[in-house]
Amino acid sequence: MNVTIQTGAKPAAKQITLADLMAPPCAALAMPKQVLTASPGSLMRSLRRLLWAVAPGLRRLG
Amino acid sequence: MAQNAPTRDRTVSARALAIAASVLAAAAAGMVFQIYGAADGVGFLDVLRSTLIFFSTWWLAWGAATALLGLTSRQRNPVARTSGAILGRTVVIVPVYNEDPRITFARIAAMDASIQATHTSAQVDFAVLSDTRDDKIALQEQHWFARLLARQHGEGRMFYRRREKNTGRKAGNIEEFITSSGAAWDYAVILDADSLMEGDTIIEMIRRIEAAPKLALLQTLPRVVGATTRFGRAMQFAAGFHSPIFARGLAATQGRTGPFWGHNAIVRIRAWAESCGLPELPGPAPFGGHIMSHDYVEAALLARAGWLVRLDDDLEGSYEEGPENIIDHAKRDRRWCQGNLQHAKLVLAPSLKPWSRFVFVQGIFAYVAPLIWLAFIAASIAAVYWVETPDYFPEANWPFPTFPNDQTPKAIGLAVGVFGLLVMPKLLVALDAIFTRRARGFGGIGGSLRAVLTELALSSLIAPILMAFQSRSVLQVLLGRDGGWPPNNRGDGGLDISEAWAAGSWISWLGLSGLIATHLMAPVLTLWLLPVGLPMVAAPLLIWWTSRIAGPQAFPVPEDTTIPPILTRHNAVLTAWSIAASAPNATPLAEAKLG
Repeated sequence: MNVTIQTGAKPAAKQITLADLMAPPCAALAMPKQVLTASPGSLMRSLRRLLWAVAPGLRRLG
Repeated sequence: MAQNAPTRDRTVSARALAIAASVLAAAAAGMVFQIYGAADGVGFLDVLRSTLIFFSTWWLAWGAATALLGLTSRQRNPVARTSGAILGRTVVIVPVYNEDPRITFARIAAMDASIQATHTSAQVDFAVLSDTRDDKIALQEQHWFARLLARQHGEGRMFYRRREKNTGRKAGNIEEFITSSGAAWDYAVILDADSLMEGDTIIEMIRRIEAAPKLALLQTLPRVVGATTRFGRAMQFAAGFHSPIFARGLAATQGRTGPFWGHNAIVRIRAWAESCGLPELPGPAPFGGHIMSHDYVEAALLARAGWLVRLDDDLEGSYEEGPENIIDHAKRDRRWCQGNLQHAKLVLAPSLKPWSRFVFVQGIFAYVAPLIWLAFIAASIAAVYWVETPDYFPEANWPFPTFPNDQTPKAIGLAVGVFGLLVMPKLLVALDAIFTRRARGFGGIGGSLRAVLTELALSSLIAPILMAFQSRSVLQVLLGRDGGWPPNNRGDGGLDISEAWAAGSWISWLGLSGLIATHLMAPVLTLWLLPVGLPMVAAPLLIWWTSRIAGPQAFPVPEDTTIPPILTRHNAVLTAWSIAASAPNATPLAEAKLG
């Protein structure tokens, strides 16, 4: 990151390094890791929910 | 303003309709085949083949049902465009990975100029997030970033950073940016390196997400542009002509849970940060480790957290590029295959919306389906090979023969039905395009019909080749081979015959062996298998031929005649930069001054 440039937005006399220009601002934001692994007992719960989600539509069709 | 969310009733009806129709079609196909197979008595192979036909037909019927839903579901009332001040700050994220920086940064210059041309006061910044591993390309990225800054006066609103390690690949790249800089903005437009979006489309996306506080992700339907080869033009035509209908059907079933395709979408950064931190999956790659196909997972996680994920297919001015030849397509598909199969570990993730789970299952099925067809073919050959000679005189001392019940018409009917499920949706989309006058942009009635039929013929020819590549990918993943993260090839796509032979000769041998084996073991099936076997034998030739430049009239799309303004801008920047780069004594500084 040792390229030196002049931009149109800056006076010609002032030289800045590209590294100064390109770094995104420091503005941290927490991003917690999500839980994606299932407990063994959740299979039946998941199937039940899937059934409940589809059942109203099937009833309507019937 | 309302969230403009799909209503729960409509979504439930669409899902039930699609499931019921596809399961009924699959059950009918399975039963017809069972009757056909049981003509000489029910055997294990008959039951196996009926089961395989059931699942194969379900997958085809699911695609057809999606198309029918897309054709019949009304487009949601377009969201009224608003014109008030935009309060939120937006960053356009461009992740890059060993891409050609000149072309990518010219895209950013074009999009920035297009946004400025809207004369809105919205704050829209750009961040190039480099995961490039090649130091030479990384140096060029800095060079072209300097050019970009100078041209667009981008200081303070255009950023570039390169990670030392590309942990988590694209998802990790974005996550690192969000955790270190995300609080500086409210919304992020996530792009791919080959994405292009009109400025007013980006502004409209910002307005829509700002107007709907529960909306976390708004996906556009990108159109493929820039294709030049026969394969690329065919894919581009299919994406422009058929995909909007399929996408509308998909959106009808997904409702509030998606879809998200990883790019050309806007997200609410706070929702994203709260919900989309992806963990590493336990175990080694390919099933463990970083989540490869992260977009489906992110959509599922946003929906799990109660956010709305929406596809607005009325938004135009969203573009991407596609693979230009079968090999590049297969390379990308290898990555997607591994990513989708990896979702098997996530189907039971806690508290996901049921439909998000079903979306994972669909993704897995898309890659398992070719193996089911292969298994069906193998079982059919085995069934003929082991079939017992019919006993024409089952009764002793009875002089007249008893012939088995001929069920051939049922087999032919089933084949026609399966073929219909493949072809019918595309023909219906063509009819719809004619009646809605959408066909005008695709060469008119005659031109679009010709293109539809040619695309059908071409896709039928290359389907066995793609099936071979897909099957190999699935087997590789199941055997534990990690495909890694090969960079996309965004060149002109032309292949010479030796490259095509190197990539496809194994398919030729496989096809030839299959045909010979069939002829020896079950000669009655040889004719049936020719549509699959012959294209496989000719795979290198087809791979080479489809990578050649297409004729000017082949597969017309609206962008051929009306070049989108953003493409014109992009070409203008590229031309200006090419002239500057070819100037004598060109240096980064001098070129930056030229802008």
